[in-house]
Amino acid sequence: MTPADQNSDWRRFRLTGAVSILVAVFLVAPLVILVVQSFTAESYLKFPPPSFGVRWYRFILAAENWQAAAGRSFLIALIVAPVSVILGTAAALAIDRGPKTARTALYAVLISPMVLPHIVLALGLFRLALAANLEDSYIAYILAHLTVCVPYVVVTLGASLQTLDRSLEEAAQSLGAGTWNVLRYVILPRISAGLFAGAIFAFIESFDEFIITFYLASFKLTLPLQIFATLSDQVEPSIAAASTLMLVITALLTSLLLARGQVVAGGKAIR
Amino acid sequence: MSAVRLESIAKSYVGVEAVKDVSVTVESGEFVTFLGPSGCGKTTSLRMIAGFVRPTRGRVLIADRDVTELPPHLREVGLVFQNYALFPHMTVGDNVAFGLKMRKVTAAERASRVREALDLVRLGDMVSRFPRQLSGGQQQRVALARALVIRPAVLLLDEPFGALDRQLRDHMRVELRALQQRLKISTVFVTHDQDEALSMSDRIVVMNAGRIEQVGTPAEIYERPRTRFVASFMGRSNLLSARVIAADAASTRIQIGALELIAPTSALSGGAEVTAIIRPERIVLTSATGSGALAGRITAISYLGASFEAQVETAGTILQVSVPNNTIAFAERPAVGDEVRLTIPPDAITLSS
Repeated sequence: MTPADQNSDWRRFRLTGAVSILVAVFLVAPLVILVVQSFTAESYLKFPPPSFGVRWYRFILAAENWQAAAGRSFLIALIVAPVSVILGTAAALAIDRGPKTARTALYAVLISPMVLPHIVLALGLFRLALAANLEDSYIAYILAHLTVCVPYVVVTLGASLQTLDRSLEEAAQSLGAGTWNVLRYVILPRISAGLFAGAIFAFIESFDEFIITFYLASFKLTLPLQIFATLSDQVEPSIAAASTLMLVITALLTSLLLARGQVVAGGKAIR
Repeated sequence: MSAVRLESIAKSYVGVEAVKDVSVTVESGEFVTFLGPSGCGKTTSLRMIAGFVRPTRGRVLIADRDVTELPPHLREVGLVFQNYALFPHMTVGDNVAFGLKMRKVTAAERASRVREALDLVRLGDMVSRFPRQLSGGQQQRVALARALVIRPAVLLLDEPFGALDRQLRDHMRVELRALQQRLKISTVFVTHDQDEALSMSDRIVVMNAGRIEQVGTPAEIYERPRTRFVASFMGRSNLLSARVIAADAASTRIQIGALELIAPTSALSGGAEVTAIIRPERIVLTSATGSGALAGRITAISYLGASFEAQVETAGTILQVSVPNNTIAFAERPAVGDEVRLTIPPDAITLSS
């Protein structure tokens, strides 16, 4: 690359770069305020905090109701993520290989929870949970979360499957691999990046889910519900600390995905 | 025992008949090439042998066993694709071992057979490489080793050299044929390249529009094309409308415009309208002082290095003539406008109705 090229690259970057930075500031500013506030040493929320400390982190990590809420959120997300991957993969495979007309219909139905207003979905699931006598139960939470998490897996896996070279499967078949062995030795290893992404998305979606769980819950509060409950009770800095912790967990998972994406891209570069 | 037997197989997709009533037998150890333009049904036929396409009619037999209803993984065929289709997430060794693993061959035997197969394609030291670290030619040889290691009843090759450059392709052609003859493995080869077909095959099946045009040895296909299609697809040809003047036990006399020629004996009788097929390189061209029976004039000529391709007009008929670039019949290089003499030996002419 000549210096002139670099120069024009920079010039092109000036406008887009400026816009990007503005958007980033707009997105990150509220989070920054929240994170800063979480480190207050006072017993009320104020920005900027008059004094700093980790008092509220100590508080929520020791408080039984916060511990229980975090435990529930992790438990549910840890069950929902792998189950979503299994169901979503099966669905994505069916969509990828099924008869053409069925494919479109199936895809539309399966990803509809992504676009439907969650409040509507929540209402329906709530009635369903009531009818099944399952309100305020883990079963109901998990089933409800699955409806909104499976679509993420269907979408990421669908993209992975589309790039899959079908002649690899035919090669495996000609070498004696039946359906199960083709899946195990050829398809799954080739879509592992999509599986991983789907699992992370499903975990985050479940971990962050609020509206639907809010309808189903009475006493068994998840982390987002605990934050909301505390917020409506009194505006205490504990919610800032809890929110920051949630933010960190989500960010860590996302960066895991990005790091893995780079590894995959690096592998392709060698090829 | 025959390796593969196609009995009147046909395949129709919605509204289209891709393969119509094809019957071919591949004998044990034989190398048979399905040759034809794209869309002629050759790949569909191969995929019916492999089991990926289910015939609409007819039966497929492999090693005398009816496999028409059998899924691909139970058919014992070795398949090599144009794009190699090596498993990118497996090493070369694991790729070759895959078929053995599926057959539950013990790890020890697997290792020795993988080594043997890779040695066969001269890639013994590549076991732990990944496919992306290999050149196209090497990848194709791994694909071949992977297909051969399972000792299939038949080896199926679908345009295997299509992605290779010309020099490598010529080299692989020789190598594959030598390997095939050494192992005596029955092989079905699909290609649109007549050079590949002519140089490698025991027999060629020429296909067009879902049907077989002609089955025969490379020499039969090239020198005795039975249809206009085969003649025009297999290299360049003079395809001339002719009329039979007289036919007897010794020869057939034909007339092409004002031109009268002697063709080999045929079952035709006087007055029949036929196509005379004459290969350009079978016509002998000499200078005007030469001994040819026909007088002509060069109307166009192009230099191809090893030969000249000349267009010669004789008795109102234009003929394509290939002149080897080693002839001593010309004092100088032939040029447009030169008066020449032509000889067309009777056995250079094939008559097709």
